[in-house]
Amino acid sequence: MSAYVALSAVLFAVGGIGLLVRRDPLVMIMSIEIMWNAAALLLVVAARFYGVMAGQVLVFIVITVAAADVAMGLAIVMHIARRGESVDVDALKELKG
Amino acid sequence: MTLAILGAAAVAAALGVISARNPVHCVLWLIAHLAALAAIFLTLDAEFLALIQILVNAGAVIVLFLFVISLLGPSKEAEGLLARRREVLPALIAGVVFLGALLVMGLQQAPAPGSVPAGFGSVPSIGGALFGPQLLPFELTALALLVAIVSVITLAGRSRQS
Repeated sequence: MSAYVALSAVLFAVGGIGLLVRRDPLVMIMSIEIMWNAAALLLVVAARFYGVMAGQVLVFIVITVAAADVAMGLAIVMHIARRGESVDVDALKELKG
Repeated sequence: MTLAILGAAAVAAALGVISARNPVHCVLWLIAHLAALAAIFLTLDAEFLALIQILVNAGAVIVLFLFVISLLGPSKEAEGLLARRREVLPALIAGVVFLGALLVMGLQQAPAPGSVPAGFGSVPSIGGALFGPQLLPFELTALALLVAIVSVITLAGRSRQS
């Protein structure tokens, strides 16, 4: 089990580093997707090793919420791009709609 | 052995996502990452989840990313990660410290692998759990999806009215 936990931790950290170093919001959303999936992997591992089905149901919910999260993030990116601003998180200064 | 190969593939693909300069290449690496994760799910008796992972994440979510990239026009990052060493180095240090903390926390209690009943992770078993004991979280997820749909329509449709 510890190998799976280590793999999940490594993937989560890689996603976190990607979130920190990239400026393109699209790639930042992809990094968040990697972090979601690392958490999902940990839940699948726990479900298998403890023999509880609830873990897999939780992964089902995690995948759904991650998809909704990506959709909302991309909608925000589209909205910013349509206002004619540069889609670069360093250049964005205001959150006003 | 299987875990070593698949895990190495997943980590390598994740590194590809965060280091590729062209967003389309990032999406392709993300597909590889999700496929490797689905294979790992298969080794953990989660057949249905592996299928859902391919269908939803490697299918629908990837198409969403590609649509947005084609709408915005592909934009390469002007400078590679190595050129921005002053920003990347602190992030790397933070990531390594964070990874250490995760490992210390995660590796403390590791139970021995328990035996699972036959059909664990199959469609009937996950369906039985989803519509049985876990019905309320399932319905709340539907509500969360509805909220997400409404907010996405609000965000994406506003500029058309004005």
